[in-house]
Amino acid sequence: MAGTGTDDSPRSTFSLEQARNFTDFPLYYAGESVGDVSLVAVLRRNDSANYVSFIYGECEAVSETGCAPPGEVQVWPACVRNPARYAANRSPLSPESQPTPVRGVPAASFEEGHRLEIQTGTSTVVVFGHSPEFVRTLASALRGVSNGVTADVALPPPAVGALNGELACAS
Amino acid sequence: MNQSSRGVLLAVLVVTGLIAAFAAVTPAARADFQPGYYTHGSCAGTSASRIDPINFVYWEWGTWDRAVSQTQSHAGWFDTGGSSQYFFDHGNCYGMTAQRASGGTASTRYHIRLHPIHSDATLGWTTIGDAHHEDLTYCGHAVDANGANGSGFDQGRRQLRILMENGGHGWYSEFWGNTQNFQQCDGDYASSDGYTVFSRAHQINH
Repeated sequence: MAGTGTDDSPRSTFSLEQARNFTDFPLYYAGESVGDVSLVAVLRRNDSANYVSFIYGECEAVSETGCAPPGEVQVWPACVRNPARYAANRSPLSPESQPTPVRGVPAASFEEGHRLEIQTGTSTVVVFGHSPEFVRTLASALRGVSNGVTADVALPPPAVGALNGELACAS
Repeated sequence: MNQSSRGVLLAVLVVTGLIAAFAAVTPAARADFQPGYYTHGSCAGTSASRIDPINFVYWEWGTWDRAVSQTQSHAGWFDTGGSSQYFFDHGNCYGMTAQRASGGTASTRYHIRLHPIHSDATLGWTTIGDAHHEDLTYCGHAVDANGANGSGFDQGRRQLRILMENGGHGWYSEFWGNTQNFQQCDGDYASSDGYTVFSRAHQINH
């Protein structure tokens, strides 16, 4: 799945095995493939952003022109990323969202359906996709990486404080 | 009502309550002033045509010519070379108005592309941009991969913010959540950390 570092294949910074052993916050992904779109990379950021991301599909990047993969499932701790972060914005440029339930839990649809932010347990699952339809397909396919949540059941409800930004991050 | 029906009703009430609580903290829509949150490689305007996250806003006196002048003045980004990209604004597609960089197209550099937004009672004149740092690699320019110092998108925004601040331009930031990863030509991935800096432009260029 990962590139070697000497070619332009997708380059992971995390592995599926590391994700399975990850305990900071519950992780979800859409499996090792969604239709004919394969999981091609797993990424970890823990700096000014904090997430584990699962990249689905490849795209054609050239000089000065990166590209958005067909799908991405990006999991954040809800104590860091939650609806209250957007409520704090005051500029008219701030992103708008539409509340929309997903798998029985609250979610917000941004960018005309190209981004879903799903609140479940102590995690915020952010789904990006080339089309609103693929975003919804990825959301339907979500399952726990190392918990027992399967793709065909409701997601765990958000933890207390996860929606209003009062959930404390575990130290 | 039997126990099973009561259980279903309770679950429905709980979920409905959660959704209502979610809506209460979700800001109202401002569809009349929505810029796109990424630059694009074409006016297709699809997620597939996205290239860079928008992460910098010049406001108050942020006309594009002032944005250019004050960026040149404080950041020293004078180079105008680079590829063309597109911005979306109120659902309409526009070619970028200007770009400035700290070096030429054959160098590792800081770079920003700019697009003006119409005046607003809250923000005044605004210009939006995609500040980033890009390495010159075997395949050309690639935005620095996600790392301990953030991605090249975060580094570019931070550098420009600091240099503008040193020049007397106050700033604040908002979380826009445009954290989608972009594959670069060398196979690495780069994403914004989701923050956008608002840098107050001055009426008089200096």
